[in-house]
Order: sequence, then structure tokens, then C-alpha cells
Amino acid sequence: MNRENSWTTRFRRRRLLTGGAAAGLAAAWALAGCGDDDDSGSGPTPTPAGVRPGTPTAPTPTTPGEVVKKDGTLKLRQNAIFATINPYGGLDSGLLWGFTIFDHLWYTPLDTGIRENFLATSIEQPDPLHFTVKIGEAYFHNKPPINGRRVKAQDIAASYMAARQQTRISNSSWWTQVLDSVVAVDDSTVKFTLKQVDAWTFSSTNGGSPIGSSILPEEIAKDPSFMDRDLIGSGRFEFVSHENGANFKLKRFDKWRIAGEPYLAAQEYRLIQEQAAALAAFSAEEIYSVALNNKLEREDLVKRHGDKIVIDSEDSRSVWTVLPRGDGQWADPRVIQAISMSIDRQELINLMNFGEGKVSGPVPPAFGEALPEADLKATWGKYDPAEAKKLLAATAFDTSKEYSIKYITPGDRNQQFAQIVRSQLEKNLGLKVKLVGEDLGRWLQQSLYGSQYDGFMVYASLAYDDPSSYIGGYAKQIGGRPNWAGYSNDEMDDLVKKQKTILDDAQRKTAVQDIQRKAWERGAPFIPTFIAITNTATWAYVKGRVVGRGSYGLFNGKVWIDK
Amino acid sequence: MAATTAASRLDFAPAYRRPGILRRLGRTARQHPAGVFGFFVLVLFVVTGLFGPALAPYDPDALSVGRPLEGPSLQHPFGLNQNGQDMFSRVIAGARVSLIISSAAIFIGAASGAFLGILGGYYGRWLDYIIQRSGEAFAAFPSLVLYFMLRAALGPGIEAIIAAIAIGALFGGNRVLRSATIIEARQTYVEAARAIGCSEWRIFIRHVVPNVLPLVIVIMSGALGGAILAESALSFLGLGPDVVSWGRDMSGQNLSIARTGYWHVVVFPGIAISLVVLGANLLGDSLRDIWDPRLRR
Amino acid sequence: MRQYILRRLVYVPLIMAIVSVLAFFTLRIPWAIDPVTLYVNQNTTLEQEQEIRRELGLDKPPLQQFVIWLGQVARGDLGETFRSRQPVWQEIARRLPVTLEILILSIFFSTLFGVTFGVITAVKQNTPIDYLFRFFAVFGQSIPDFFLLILLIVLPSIWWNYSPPVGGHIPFTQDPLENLRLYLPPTILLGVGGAAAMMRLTRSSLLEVFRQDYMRTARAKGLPGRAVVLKHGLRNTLIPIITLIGGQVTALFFGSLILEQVFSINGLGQFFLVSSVTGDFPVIQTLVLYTAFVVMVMNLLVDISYALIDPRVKYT
Repeated sequence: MNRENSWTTRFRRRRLLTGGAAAGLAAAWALAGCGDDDDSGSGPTPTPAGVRPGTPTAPTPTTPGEVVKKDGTLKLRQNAIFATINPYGGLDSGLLWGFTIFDHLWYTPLDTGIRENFLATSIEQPDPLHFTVKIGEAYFHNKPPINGRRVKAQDIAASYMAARQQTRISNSSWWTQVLDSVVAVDDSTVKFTLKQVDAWTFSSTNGGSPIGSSILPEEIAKDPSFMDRDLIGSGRFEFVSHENGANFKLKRFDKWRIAGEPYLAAQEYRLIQEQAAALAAFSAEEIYSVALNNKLEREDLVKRHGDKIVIDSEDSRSVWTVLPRGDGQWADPRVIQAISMSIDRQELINLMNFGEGKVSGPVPPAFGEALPEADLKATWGKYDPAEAKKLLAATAFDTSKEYSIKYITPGDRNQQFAQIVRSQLEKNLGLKVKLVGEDLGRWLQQSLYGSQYDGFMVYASLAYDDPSSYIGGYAKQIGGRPNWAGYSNDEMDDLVKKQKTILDDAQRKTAVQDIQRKAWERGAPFIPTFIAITNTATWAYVKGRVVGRGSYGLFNGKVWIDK
Repeated sequence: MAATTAASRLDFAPAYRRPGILRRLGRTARQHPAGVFGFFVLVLFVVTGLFGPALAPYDPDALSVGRPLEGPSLQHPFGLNQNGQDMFSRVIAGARVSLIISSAAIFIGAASGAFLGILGGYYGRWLDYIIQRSGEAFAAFPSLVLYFMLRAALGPGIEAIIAAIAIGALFGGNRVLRSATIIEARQTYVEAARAIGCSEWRIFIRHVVPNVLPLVIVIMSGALGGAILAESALSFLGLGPDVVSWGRDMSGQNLSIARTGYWHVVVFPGIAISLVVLGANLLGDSLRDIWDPRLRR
Repeated sequence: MRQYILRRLVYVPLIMAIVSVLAFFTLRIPWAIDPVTLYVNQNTTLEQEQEIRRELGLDKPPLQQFVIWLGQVARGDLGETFRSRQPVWQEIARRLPVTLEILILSIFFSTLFGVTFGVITAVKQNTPIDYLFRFFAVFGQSIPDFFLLILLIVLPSIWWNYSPPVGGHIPFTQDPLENLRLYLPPTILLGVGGAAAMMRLTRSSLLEVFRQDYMRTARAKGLPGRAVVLKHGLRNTLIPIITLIGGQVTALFFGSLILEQVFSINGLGQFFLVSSVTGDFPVIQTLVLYTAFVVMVMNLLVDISYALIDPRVKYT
């Protein structure tokens, strides 16, 4: 561990990235029939087991002296069919292979916030725009044409440069706007050059992305279409087989860089699309872990299996958001404040999650950068319909017009959210609101990115990995396009840009919190409402799990099956 | 093969005075209680579909009208779903989209398809040829494939479903009607009508159409059940229109909630679907029994 | 007969041509969804979007796209899918065995149940058995397939913590037992749903045949009842039954889609569904061409089988 390097400690890594960036692809899974929304905890990869919020995190207890049974097979659920196994062809395959088949230079568990070196043995940072990585000894899987040769710095440079050019995986703008070049100095040294300072460089949305930072053999990085047929990495598992993008089988890589690991002999993924069928399969022990949609499912499983199963719960980082317009009559901060104050977040939590959720500010409570409780209550978390109505009446807002709420269809949670928000706006502000369900393509491209809406957009944000992704919406430009809501405020724009350059952790945290308060005062239109608390059930005989460390737990080689 | 059967419908003794229409209806109804049941189910379905929102005790989209997931009670006969929405009102409201889609299937699809079949069968020649060939071309487009194509082009929305189901029904009963018409058109009474100088159009409308009409109604009742099942299945798959619908209330989240013991959430919409389709099938069967003497025994 | 078949064969390419033009331009009507929108995300720059459009071949005017596509099809190349960028025919060929097995099994079961119960109800006409089966048939026809399939998964799980296997296709050639363990329960259920129509048809056709003189003759000759039914009766009801089986292929494709969805089987139904939702034009175009072909060949086979079964049928 390279803790002496002051640079490493600066980048507090946050919670698991499940979403990366591709709103498009993420919701496409829902379209493809998996039927779950982003916040329900059942992403494309098996959701890592979490902990009850607030409890300290530790690996699941293994009694000292207990004999580890190696060679078990872990059986997991796959929610949706992958379009292709090529990790450059889709977010789903990119993430799953990133955690299993491919190795990475570094990763930062969210509980310590300290970057851990994986293949890297040291990371030297002479100045904020350059860093040099030395790598250790590792081998690729023994398959033609690579045939188990050693991993070299050239492979890493080629992988980063190849990932940057992919249009089909959703790289964050770090890849195009911050990363300048990656060069192999010699067989075991890689040199990174950045175009601009970015405090979030090592985050897993950026330079530590499970997809983008996957280490491919140089030959394959130069011809990624090879991965349409087979996958060769240097990760702890080898790719064995699939059935047209489903039912994957992986087996242990014997020359994995950590000797003796992984304990599991194999991983098997079973395609189960209907949640009801997944619960049935879990009870029948056809899969060992299942993400639960709600409290009812959890109580049912606990009643059935008692302490033979373990329930982990975790704060979702997907914020249910109402996005009104931010221009014209909406640019008056009081309009946005009135709308925010007319939303009864507790009712949303009760109806959508049986009371298991938390009121959320722009940055969800899972992050240290979230607004403190008191601030939240005074701003984005405030519910006061009487004051809201008074505030709105004082503005020039036209309440006689009919406004629309646009949401993604199909997907029952999106519709449910839209319905509840509509009823609250009608009841508390006397607005006339109609619901407009749109298919993903139209909703995303035309209505959201193209700003073609005349009232509200509603959605669950993606579960981002760094807080800066949540406040990016206050800038004039979002991902190279004009602000979706038409919101334009010089002060907010500057603040968003500035926090990226603050390398000091504590200062940046203050800056991010400050931006959220400012957003309230200045009436920025992204109105956060709540986050769900998600549950995962696992059979107790799955031991050695690492819980509460987000996606870091998926890199764990010490899972074993006591059965 | 069918020549004898169609003819048998026409032989009646002129001396016999037919009993009044009501009495005849009553007698038929007593012989076909299932058909009567089906008829009333369909009437109920149409009335609910037309006036649903006015009949429903609550707004089907209104939230928290009672305690979420509460079971059936006097106040909420079908209970409440996760949003605290009244399931009884939702089942009533769900009839609307089923009615729209099944009427489209019946009137745009089956009825006009039937008309084309009769027309082709009666006139023959080039008209028949065109209708038959386009029927074959459309047969190459099963409803589902047609739907997939329209869905890709138009996106979600009721248009693609209506178009797919209606076009699918268009040439469904076409051939049967065509052959029935050909047989009908060769009957002696048609020649007799022609001999006394009736125009072709008059013969067609006054004589041929009424005589094959029963068959049309049988085909339409079949299309009705098929359309409702298709709509509910599409809604179940998450492809349905974005309105309250029976299939939709039976899918996704509701399904896994039902699994944990709240059966009423999916069972009542399911009963609604089955009941209406059952009604259409029973009515269709009875009508067939009444009008198609081949099966009358 | 030969002339008739030849004439029908000429139709095949003709109708396929019409159908492909229809499909191609329906997907490109001006207000149609732009598939490129499904392959971008918030960080996609406008240049990248242009690049994707070019890669997908959607940057040219529709007519030019059509000419290019026709050229490809003529060379036997159906293009690459938008989603996976793999050859369309490969993607289809890989999934075909799965869906084919579902179709064959469910047609087998619907025919088996339908004809068996049809014969029973016809022989036992107007007895309680007849009424009972007919009641179940009407009833079974009215319950949506998806509901039955869901119950098949959910009920055993609630009662016995057992779940019928879902997902995980094992080729029949590799392990027939495992394969059938996955496919039999749902296809039997699907078959039962399709059997109702078959049963009613068999029953009414048989009753029709029973009234014919030759049946009376057969009985008068002293042939036992069962032989009469099976030898003379069934043979003569084959034509309507085969017509219905032909028609059921497309109906059961819908059933197969639902089965694949509920049982998480990765077959053609799901592939086409996702392709349609994600605007994967090359796949949809191929689907339309392919079904047109299959439907026409099926119809032709049905017509030919008429002539084989019943020597009285002649085509001119």
C-alpha cells in the first residue's frame, strides 16, 4: 500500500459505481424486460452485499481456525441478456468483466477512501498533471493468441488509449477532456499525462473505471472486435462460456497474481428476468444471492428461511429527481423553491418504498459531501405546502397553463413516481399537470438532452461514484451540451468548475456542500427528493464476503461456499 | 361440402307462422344459457369501457385513498394496491383500453376484413384476385411481427398495438367468408332476384350480406377474445400503452408483491381479463351453434 | 398439382420483395424513432453521435440505404445488428434452436392433448365427460398464457420452496434429461392452452364424419368402435387439423415469446422483442423477410399435405 504518497490520500473514493454514466444503457435494461429501475439494487452486475447504514463495515465473520472449503461454485443471478460479451459493447458486460476477468492498476474502497494498488506497485505523482505507475508481476489467461504471456506496461497504455476511443461504452468526459496520454516508459512503467487538473481523476467514473481501466492484452486492445468472441484478461477468473449473452460460466485463473486466491473454483450466472422467478430460484437455492425490491420481499424471505439467510441493506445512491425547467418564468428562484417545498418526500418514501428510504439533497446521504441534516431540512428537504403556495403566488408564474411531467416508460417505478409528484403538485400548488410517458430514446435524447419539455422531467439519477457528478447539472454545459433545463447562472457555473481543481479533501467537501446550499438559494432546477434503502438476501453459507465496501467487494477473492 | 348446410337455412314451410321475435329469442336463450351469460358479460364490459371513469368510486390514479395493500373490504371490494389506489376502480378503468383495442380489432379488422371477403367472393374476377393476393401478403405478417416492426418505427403508444392487432384480424376470417359467399351467390334465389331485375348491388346488400352476416358475427366474437388476450400479454411484457390496463397491473412489481401474499393486487385484473374473454368465447360458441347448422346437434 | 406448386413458388420471392420494401420504409418514415438516440449517453459529443450514425449506415438518404441493403441481401449478407454489431444471421441462427424446440414441443403437446380430448369428447358426445372437457377447454382458452406460466413458477415455490428451472439452456443433444426438465413444464402448459381450439375442431369434425354413410357402413361391417373412430374418422378430420396446426405456428410464436420472458430463456422471441424496442433495424428487416418466407412455405406445405391425405383434393 502506498499510503506515504500524499497524493493518494487526497482522493477520497466514494461508494460503488454501478451506473458509470450511460443513462441510456442503464434504462435500456429496464426496457429489455428486467423491469427494475436503477435504485432497486438489481443492476446488471450482482449487487454487492452492503451493510446496514451506519454500522461499521467488515468482512462477514469467519470463525478463527475455521477450515476454508475451496473449490465451491458461486451461483448468481443475471437480470438481463447482454447484447454482446464485448466489454466495449455495453455497460453491462463491461462492468461484469471489469470485476472478474480483467485486472486494474488501482481501486479505492469507499470505507477507507484510500486508493489501493492492484497491479500497480507504486504511483508517483510529481505534479497534478503527471503520474507514473510501476506494475508488478501478472500473467494473462492461457488462451490463444496470448497464451498466458506476462502483462507489460505496453498492454496498459494500449488499453487506456483503446478505451478512450470507444463510442459504445459510456466514458465520462474525463476520458476525452482530462486524459491526455498514457505511455509505456519501459516494460513495467506507465506514464499518465493530464490536460487539466481534476480532483476526481482516480475515481471509478474516471481513471479507475471498471470498464475503461480494464487491462487488455495489447493485441486485443488494437482489435477490440476479438472480444465479440472471447475474452482474455489477467483477472482472477477466466471466461469459460456463455449462451448468446446469458448464463455465463467463469472458472478460477490458476496463475492469478495473488497466489492461493480466488477460493472459488467457479462462478455461474443464471439469467432470471422476472423478480418473482428470482425469488423462487433463491428459495430453491438455484442462486445464492438476490437483490430485493422492497420490504415485503425481505419479510417474506426472512419468514421462510430465518437465519439461514443474511440480509444486507444499503443506501442507494440513485436520487429520485424532479427537474422543472430553469429558464423563463422558472428562472425566478422562488418558483423552484415553491415546487420543492410542495413535494412531500415522506409520502414518496412511504408509497414507493414502504417507508424505507431517506430524504436526499442533491448529493445523496451515502456521501460525506451530502448536506448536513439541519441544512437539508431548511432547504431541499423542506415540506411546507402553505408557504409554497404563497411563494409561488408572489411570482409571475402562470398557474393557469397545463404543464407536463415526462417520464420513461415502461417501468412501473418511474410511472409511480410521476403519479405521486403530479398529485402533490396538483394538491399543494393547484397546478394543472398531465403525465407524458415516453420511450427511453425520445425521453433521453429529445426531451432531456434536447430540452424539449414544458414542465417537468422526473427520473431516478444514476448511482454515481463521485459527488461532482450530482452537481454537474448546475453548470451551463452538461457533457458538452447546453444545460438540459435551460438553466444558466454564472455563479453556479463557476462554482462547479472550481471544485474540480480543489485538491484538498476537506476544502473540496466544503465547496461541494456550499454548492448545494447555493443551488437552493439560486433556484437551480434539479430538485432532489429521496433515496431508497435497498436490500440484498444471501444464503448464510456464502462466507468470506466483503460487505459495505461497494464494488470493492466484487474484487474479493476470499469468498467461499460452506456447504 | 358446405353447400348442403347453407341451403338448409333457407327451407322453411310458408304455411308456418313464425312465433314473435321475443318468444324466439327467449327460446334460443333458454337453449344456450352459456351464450346468454357471455352476452351479458360483454354488455357489462362495453358499458364499463364506455362509462368507466364515471362508474368508478375513486379516481383510478388517485393515491392513498386507503391504506396501501389493504385487502378487499366493503369500501374497497377489490382492495388496494401498493400506492393505495383502489383496485376496483382500476379494474373498471382498465376496461377502457381493452375496449378500444378490441373494438379496433373487431371494427377496423374483422368487420372490414369480412366485408372484403364477402365482396371478393361475390364479385370474383379481378377484385377477388386482388383481395386474395393481398390477404396472402398480409398473412406473411403475423400480428406480432407487424407489431415489432411498428414498435421499432413508432415507439410505445397505442397506435402500434391497434394497427398490429387490427391488421392481424383483417384477413383472419376472410377466406371462410369468401367461400360462404361464393356458395350463397349461387343459390337459386339470387338468380331469381336477378331475373326479376334487381341490381347487383341490391342483391349483394339485401340478400347475400344478411345471409352470411351470422358468420361475420361469429368471427368478430373470436377476434374480440384474441385482441384482449394480445393486449394484456403486451402490457404484461411492458409494451402496452401507458394507461391503466389489466395486463399492466398484473406485471412487474405487482407480481412480486402478490407473491408475498397480497394476491388481490393481481388476481382481480386477471379475473377481469379471463371473464371478458370467456364471455366472448361463450357467446361466439353459442352463436355458432345457433347459426351454423353443421354444429347444431 | 406440379403446376400449382410452381405457381405458388413464384409468389414467394414476389411477396417477399413487397414485404421487404414495406418493412424497410416503414422503419424510416419521417416521424419514426431515430435509433441513434438509443446509443448515446450524456457524455456523447455531437461528433461521436455523427460517428455512430455513420457506423450504423443511417447517414445516407433512405433510398440509398435501401439500395445498399438490397445489394447486401442479394449477396446473402443480412447486415450487422446495431446493438451487438454481429452478423444478423449469426445472431438468429444461434438462438433458433431454442425457440424451435419450444415451438415443436408446444405444437406436439397441443396436438396430442387437442386430438385426444377431441376424440374422447366426440365419442362420448353429450355425456358428463364431454361437458367437463368442453368446459375446461372454453375456460382454458380464456386465461392468459402469461398468468398460467407465472403460476407455474410461483406456486411450487410458495408451497414447497421448489422452483422449476428457469434460464440456462442446455442443448438437447448434450443432455436430453436436463434439457427436458427445463422445457417440458412450460411447453406442456403452453400446449394445453393451444389444445382447446384443437380439441373443439377435432370434436366437431369427427361428429361431422360420424354422420357420413361410410362410417355407418364401417360399423355395419362389424368393425369395433375404436377402429372405426381411429381409422376412418380421424383420417378424415386431418385436413382441418393440419390447417389449424399451420395457423398455430405463428400464434405459438407469441406464446414462445412470453414463455421465454417468464422462464428467462434466451431465444428468438426475446431477441426480436429487444431489437424492436431498441430500434435495431437490420434485425427487424430480417425478421420480416424471414417470417414471410416461413409463413409462405408453411402454407404451401399445408396445401400439399391436403392432396396427400385426401385424394379428392386436386389443384389446378
